[in-house]
Amino acid sequence: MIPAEVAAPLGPAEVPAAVGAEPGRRSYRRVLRWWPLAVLAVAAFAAAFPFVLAPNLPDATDLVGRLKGPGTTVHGTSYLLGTDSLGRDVLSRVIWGTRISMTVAVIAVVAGGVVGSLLGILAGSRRKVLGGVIMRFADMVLSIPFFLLAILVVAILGPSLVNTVIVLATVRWPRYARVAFGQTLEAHSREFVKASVAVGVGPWRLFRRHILPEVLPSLIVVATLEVGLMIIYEAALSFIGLGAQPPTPSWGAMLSEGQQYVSTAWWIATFPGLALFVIVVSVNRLGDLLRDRLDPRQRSPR
Amino acid sequence: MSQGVTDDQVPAGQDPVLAVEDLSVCFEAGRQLKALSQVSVTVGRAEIVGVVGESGCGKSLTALSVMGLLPHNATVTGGRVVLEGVDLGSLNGRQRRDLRGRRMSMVFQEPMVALNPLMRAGRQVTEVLSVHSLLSRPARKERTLALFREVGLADPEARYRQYPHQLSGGMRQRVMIAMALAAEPSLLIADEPTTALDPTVQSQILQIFLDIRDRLGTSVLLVTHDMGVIAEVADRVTVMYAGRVVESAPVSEIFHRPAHPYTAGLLASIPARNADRGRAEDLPTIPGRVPALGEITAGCPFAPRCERAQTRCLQEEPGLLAAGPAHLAACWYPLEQDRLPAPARSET
Repeated sequence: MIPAEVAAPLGPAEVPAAVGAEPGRRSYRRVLRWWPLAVLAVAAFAAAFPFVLAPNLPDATDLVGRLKGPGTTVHGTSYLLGTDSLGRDVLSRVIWGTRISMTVAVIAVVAGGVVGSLLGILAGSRRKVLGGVIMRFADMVLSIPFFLLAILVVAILGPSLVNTVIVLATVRWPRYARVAFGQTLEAHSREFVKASVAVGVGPWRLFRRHILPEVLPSLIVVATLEVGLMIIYEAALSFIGLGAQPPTPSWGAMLSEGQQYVSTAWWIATFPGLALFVIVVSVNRLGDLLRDRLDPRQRSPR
Repeated sequence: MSQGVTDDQVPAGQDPVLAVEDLSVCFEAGRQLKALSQVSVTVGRAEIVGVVGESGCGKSLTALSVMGLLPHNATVTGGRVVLEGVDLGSLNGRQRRDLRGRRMSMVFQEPMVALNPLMRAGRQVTEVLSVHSLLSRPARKERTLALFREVGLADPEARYRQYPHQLSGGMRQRVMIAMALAAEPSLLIADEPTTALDPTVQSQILQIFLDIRDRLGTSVLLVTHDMGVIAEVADRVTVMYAGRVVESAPVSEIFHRPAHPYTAGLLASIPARNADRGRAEDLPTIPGRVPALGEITAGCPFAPRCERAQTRCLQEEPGLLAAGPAHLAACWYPLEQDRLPAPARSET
């Protein structure tokens, strides 16, 4: 009785309004938080169908229209983001470059991720000898500076995009292996995994049905964050000439070409750099969002 | 409540289902720490044997060694485990795995975490059947439903489809038991199966163990720290202390004529249900604490806490000595009987 009277002066209109306003505003924000998905969807479309979006061919040269600024029209062809030193359309090259960046990054992540994850899970499941060997080997690979190893591999295999993928996967698998190793150890300490072993579940089924579902969420988060890093690494390798070879429209290669003209034709290096920046920020943000959703430490006990 | 096979160690002329013989287990932690020291336990057919002791006395470790599920830093350093005449130490990993579930099975302490949260209850049981490639797919479901009924789950069809988080603790423990029983093992190891449950659910679960023993002839090795649980279901009891067996006897012997001072201390520490003493400090306790691994020196490991300890106890470790019919105790000066210990070391 008394609580009811005390509560009344607070105003019945005030409370429902506040309660009613909150969820609507929150769900609106909750959707907006996932903006990286929208950016990446556009990028994925550009990577899949660059010929739809790009107004010109990426390697069509126009010697008359060299080094034209953004918005210039030459012989009836308009160059929205300008042209480079060979008169190629910067916009079209940026769009086609999406394909290179995304493909290299995704393949590198899948290759390194699958190899690293399997080795990590194996190491976590066979701790005694094999696990130690695998993880020490992973430590060794991690101890070698990235560019040193990249230069070594390219020196042996020669510079190309395929070799870039090989370099990236070779260098990055230990990252997944470490995460998978730790998560596997944790999974093996779980009571239900022990209980499955106690009724005769063998290693292969244990891996498929009990370990993998426990380990996968963390690996997905790592893999997403790695995509951003791989895009940067691909650009870096192409920038120093160890990745994509001209005339392949790689963002890194475009930055490298454009940097000679930064003072006179700023657009050549700026737009690929901007694309790189937007994509990498989006990928990393997506990784953070996924981490919030999937991190086992934040998962409530089921 | 002891019934069936009681007053003989193991019925004559019948091999025990499980024989743990002088099992020693060491932990590798910079140096070797002996966690189990010559532990011997036998379980006869359709017998329920209780293993009791304080935390850290090695009772769970004994159970895990039988299953071959020792932690990676523990190794068996001596003795052997024989299951239905097969020395488990002589098997390779694959042969051993094949025995798990089919010949021996284990129920864990925490039903809350011992089921895979991502798998439906029914699937967890059918998995055991498919692991051992028993039955066809539809028959597996039928068998699972029958098992659910057997362990007293109401509305088995509904339980079959539910996830662990939708089940209560008691229901989950029943699902666990159904899992363990699915491939009809001869030996069921239960590690504190009722510790995490309410007292009412606890006795229902214990009743299941009695039921399956009576109906399926399953032997049970029941690991617990609860003397009440032992009194309710066990036929024989093995008391462990500091990684050693200190007493082993039929359940009535243990409760009425404990020979080892440690067992007597454990029994005295059970709160009496209807006693007049209302104050907690009146509850008898055993002074001191269990020695840590590696702390154990010469003599009887219980001697520092034992009020009956003599100089001999501090110098020489007693082996298991006969203290009555089918009754063994590792004590130089056992209670009650107060006779000189027979020097011969008896078999378990």
